[in-house]
Amino acid sequence: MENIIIKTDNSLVSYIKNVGESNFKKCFQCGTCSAVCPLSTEDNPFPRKEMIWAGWGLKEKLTSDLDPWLCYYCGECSKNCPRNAEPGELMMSLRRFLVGAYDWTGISRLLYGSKYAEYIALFIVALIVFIEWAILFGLSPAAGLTINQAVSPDKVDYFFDWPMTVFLGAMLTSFIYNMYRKTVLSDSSVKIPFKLYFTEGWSLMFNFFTQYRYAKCDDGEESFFKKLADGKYNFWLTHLFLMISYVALFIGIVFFLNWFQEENSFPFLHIILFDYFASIGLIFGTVYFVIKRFTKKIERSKFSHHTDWMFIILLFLTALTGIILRAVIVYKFPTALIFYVYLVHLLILLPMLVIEVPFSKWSHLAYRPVAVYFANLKEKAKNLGNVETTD
Amino acid sequence: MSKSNNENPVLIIGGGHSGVSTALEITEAANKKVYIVEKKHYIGGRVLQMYKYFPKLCPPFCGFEINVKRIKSSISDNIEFFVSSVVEEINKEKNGNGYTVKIRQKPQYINDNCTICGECVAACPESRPNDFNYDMDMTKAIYLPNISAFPSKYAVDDEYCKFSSCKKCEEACKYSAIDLNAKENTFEINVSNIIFATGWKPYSVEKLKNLGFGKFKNVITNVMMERLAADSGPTKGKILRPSDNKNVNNVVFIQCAGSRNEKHLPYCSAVCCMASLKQALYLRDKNPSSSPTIFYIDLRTPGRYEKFLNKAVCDENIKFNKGVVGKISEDHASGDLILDVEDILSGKKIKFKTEMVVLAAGMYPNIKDDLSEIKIGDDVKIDLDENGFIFNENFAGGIFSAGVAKFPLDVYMSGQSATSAALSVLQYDHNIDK
Repeated sequence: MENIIIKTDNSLVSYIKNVGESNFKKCFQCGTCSAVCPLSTEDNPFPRKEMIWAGWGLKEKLTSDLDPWLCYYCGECSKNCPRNAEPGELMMSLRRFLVGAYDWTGISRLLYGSKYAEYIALFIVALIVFIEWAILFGLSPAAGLTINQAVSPDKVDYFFDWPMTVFLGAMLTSFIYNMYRKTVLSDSSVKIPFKLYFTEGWSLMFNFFTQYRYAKCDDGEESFFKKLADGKYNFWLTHLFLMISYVALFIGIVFFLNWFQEENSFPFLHIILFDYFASIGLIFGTVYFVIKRFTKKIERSKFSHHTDWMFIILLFLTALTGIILRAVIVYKFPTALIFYVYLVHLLILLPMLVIEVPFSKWSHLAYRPVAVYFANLKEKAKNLGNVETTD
Repeated sequence: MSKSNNENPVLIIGGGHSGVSTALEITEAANKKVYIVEKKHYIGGRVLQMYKYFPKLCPPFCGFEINVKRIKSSISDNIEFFVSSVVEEINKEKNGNGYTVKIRQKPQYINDNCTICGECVAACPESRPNDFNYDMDMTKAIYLPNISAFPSKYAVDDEYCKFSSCKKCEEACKYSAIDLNAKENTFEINVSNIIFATGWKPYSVEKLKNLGFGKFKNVITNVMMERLAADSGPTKGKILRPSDNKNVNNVVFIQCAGSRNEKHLPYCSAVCCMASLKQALYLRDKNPSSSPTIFYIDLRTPGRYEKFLNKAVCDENIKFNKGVVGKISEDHASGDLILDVEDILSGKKIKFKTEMVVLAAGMYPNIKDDLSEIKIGDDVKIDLDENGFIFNENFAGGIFSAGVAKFPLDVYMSGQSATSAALSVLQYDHNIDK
């Protein structure tokens, strides 16, 4: 018989325990969770195998696993678990673990490990923003200037938005490459034909813009519209609305900042779309999720990690200060007031983006669709008969 | 030591296998009076509802008949039964040792003149679901509780009998054995010891919503399977599924239905693995073309029972799947069932189609619910653990327990616990004497 050496990692077990509230050590491997999971497939059931990998601290298995990203925390597993081991929450913990595993800088692991680390990181970015602002625009606007003169949109673009965008892009790209290395390249049993990367590209876009897997959480036999009317898609649609709003605003501030500083109170159609629609989306979405997390009625909102709260609160504050900023501009408040509101808005917005997008909860925006894409690639490649035993 | 038999009587609550065995062990070792209070119309309890015992695969009648013979040959009425009776109150006797117990016996409509001739049944126009067969068939409102009924007489179900407006059975009876005007009777006895042998009932598996018991006809429990297999059962010993009385080949056994589940019964019920193996084996025996599959978490067949497992494993037509069923749905047209389950050893999720599902329902202690209906004096100490089993032997108080009232046990171990309880009573007597 072949000897199998299993390397366990106790520190990994305690790390996973710390970044969530799953009792995965209580699991006795009955398989109920995988069996009831509406999202896992016949060839690739989860989360039963993740429960034992986490329990034993099998690092290689866990870092090469895409399944935590394919899980949308429907909660069926946790509801049916005979041991109350919370497999759904384990998948959440594993997503937190994986964000840290893809991040070669080590910052994510610090942020997930301690809420104080997160406060300090946010504070440092805010301090940099403040100093930059002080150098560029001073600490009070000169008398008689309009806001566009006091805080030039071009300067904000050059010194805040664009460097930040480049930084986020570079970080996320390198982390996604790391993820690709760990989950796709490391799997010697699958070789992906080059052509597939393009033909499967649609799944990346489709999942990014629809988050359709959420809809699959309810596998009841009712029609789509019946489920819609029963509110079974509320969480999905709210999440989608929030995400689309965020993307719209992100594109807005990075490429069309001058629109937002437009003083016209009867703005153009594109401003209405970008600004007002997206602001409603952010406020509605964040308030909805805060309520869910407080009431704890559904499985996926039962447990909240400090990174969940921080993200949602920052997003809400960003939207709120953004709306106030837009209001004081449109209603032609004194430039000095606009100046300070603008500063406060940036002191929240930029730390939120710089810290949350690559290093914390917001990164799932990239990892989720990419993971679906990678999983599709692997599955298609296997079906094409490109299964090889050795590389 | 040599006290007359009425001075230190013992009360045994529950006339099942454990209770009867305890009574016999006591009376055969010492000249003592033992009362048995039994809720049902007959003694023998759950084992009478079994088709076969494991691991010897013999029917329960022989053991029960031996016990009945032992009862009949016991010294002058040392064992006294109160059937269809419940304990209402337990109080400490004022003068010190022992307890005063209030017992309520439901009306005894049938007296000992009954010869089980069956004329009354033929005359009776009313019917009732047969609880002995887990409501899978009907009997008349006057009925023989089961074929080995002891006391050997009919019973009247007062929920379904029309009494004075009917009285057809009274007229039909040639032996004046029926008195539908009988009244219930409440009385007190004084005892020095109490033994709880209250037993168990199968867990209400309809609470496991994902498994569809009560919703899908062909999902049954392990105890129902015993009745289907029994010659005196609703199908006369042919294993036919409830929806269409079809002979079944492909049968699934699902282990831990309720047991080892913190939302239901957090403990292992100890007997279900062996029970399902036994049922798979006798299904194979009765229907050679059958192919049962057992879905398990892990198979618990300790000690010598491992041999029994090996016997089942050696049968190529008995399949095993590590991984329990997450969800059952029904194919409405055929009545077949589709199971969502992970085959853990291969790592694949499968949809398993089957003709009938047998749930290994866990053991739920009767005492958990019954104790709330008994008025217990403040100075009487009976402690249940968080699962509802009696966890401390109140040795100083002379209160003991036997059988599944203590924890989940099989028949063989219940016998041992009965001996143990009997020994405790005798030792208690000895200590009091000193």
